[in-house]
Amino acid sequence: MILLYIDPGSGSLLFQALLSGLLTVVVFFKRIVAFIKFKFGKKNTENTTEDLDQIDQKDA
Amino acid sequence: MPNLISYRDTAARVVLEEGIYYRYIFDEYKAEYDHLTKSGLLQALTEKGLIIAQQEEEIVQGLDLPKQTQQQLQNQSPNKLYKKLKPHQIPFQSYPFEWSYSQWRKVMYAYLQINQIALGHSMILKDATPYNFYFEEGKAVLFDTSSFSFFKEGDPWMAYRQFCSEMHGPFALMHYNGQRWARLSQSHLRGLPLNFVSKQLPLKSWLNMNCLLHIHLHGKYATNDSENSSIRNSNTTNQTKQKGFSKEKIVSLMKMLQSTVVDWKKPYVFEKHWIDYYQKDIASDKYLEHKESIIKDWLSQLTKQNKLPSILDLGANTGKFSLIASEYAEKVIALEYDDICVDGIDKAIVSSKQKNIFCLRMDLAETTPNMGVLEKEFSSIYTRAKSSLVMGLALIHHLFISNQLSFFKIASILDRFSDKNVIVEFIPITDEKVQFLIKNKQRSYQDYTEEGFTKAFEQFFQIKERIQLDESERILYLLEK
Repeated sequence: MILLYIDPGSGSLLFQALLSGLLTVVVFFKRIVAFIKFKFGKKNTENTTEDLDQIDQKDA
Repeated sequence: MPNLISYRDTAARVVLEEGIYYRYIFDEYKAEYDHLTKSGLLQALTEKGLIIAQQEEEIVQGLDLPKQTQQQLQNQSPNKLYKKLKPHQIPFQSYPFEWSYSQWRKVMYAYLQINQIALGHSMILKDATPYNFYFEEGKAVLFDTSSFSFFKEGDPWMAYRQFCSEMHGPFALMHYNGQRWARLSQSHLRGLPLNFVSKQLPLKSWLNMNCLLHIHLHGKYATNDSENSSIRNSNTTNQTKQKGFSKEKIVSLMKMLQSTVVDWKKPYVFEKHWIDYYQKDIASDKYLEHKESIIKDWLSQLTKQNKLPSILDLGANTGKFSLIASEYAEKVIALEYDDICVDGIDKAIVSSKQKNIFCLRMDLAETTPNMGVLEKEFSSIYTRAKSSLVMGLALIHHLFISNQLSFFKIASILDRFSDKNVIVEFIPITDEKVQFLIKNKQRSYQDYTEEGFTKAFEQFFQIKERIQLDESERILYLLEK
């Protein structure tokens, strides 16, 4: 049992249920896009471990 | 570092033992800590510089623990200690309400990055507070090692509300309404109520998906009333099981939030009037060269034996002299009043070879005091930034004229910050910048004289050297206590 000393707030948890529903749609479309990209041989360029500075420099 | 650190945490406690900070992990956190280390998560985060480096030390149990340590462990039984960690000692800590926009952005990005990496190891951060981060070499680093909890499919994001009210909310306010909103965090240490944030944000924020969902709509649903919130432990996640996220969904959510952080490169900027002040830069090359060479000379004199432990640069502006000083000290702390300038110094640190500079926003006439519970959670800037050398270059005219501080008060401030030496620049009344500042002021500035300046400073310091700068009426002073 993890004692959570940060009170999460029950309203926020209910709201997460809504978010979860919305994310079902988002994830559904992301999977389709990923599948299409895969089929066309495009490499997965998403990299969550990239540094913010690197991203900013690329965009500059 | 303040005395009341991590007092709310039940998994671990930070303790000061003979001048060194340690983190004691308690028995109840054993499973999480073991997974954190054995799964490779801790190593992955350490290698990326996202979490503070640390090593395990031999642990002493029970009554063999030093008395001071036992006292600091308070309610936790000394027999239930699992690990003793010695983290890299934080050289300097600044607080979220002292950060510039780009610093907030780095923390937001790092937080979401850490969570995504953690989710890959079935863990997640149970806290979402910017106070768990500090800056080193211009990078945001998490120092709360015991903030990780397990995440399994279907779990809700327990830190979500805290994320929105302590991180996303303030950051959105800064982005849409200006960097000044960071300062509100100083009077709201536990975050901003979401309905409040929602009301302050402009209409166009409703068109941003992340603001719409996580602030505006969330603010309408979430209750801030803790009496209505009965959830205190993870047993109740059984009830909310269906309301949680799959790993894929929560990672998607983190990515969406992260893309907003990346997109929001700059804050809304109000202050245009200072542009005139900086653009009409009278600084001749000779003046700057001479100033630089004297300061380097003095720094060399002061560091004949060893580098100074710390140099404080007050009113650091672009950070030019902080960068110069950084070669002569273990660390340089740069305080600057203007938010945009702090962003500039932050950029300069990242691109410079010398990375031992810490910058933050500070108004010298409204400094951060001791704050929080029993005024022991957060330290005054005077405690944190006290240094053996304090530099006050192109500063005192701002404090005298804009802040209406007498020379005695200015000298008191520098005296309070300094352990030994001060380098200060006197800018006379005939200087163009001073004339700009006093342009529309009603009062006479007859008391603004070099004589008045030296008289005030001599009450705290001895004047070691006085040098008039080339092609300028400005004068550099080297002072010693």
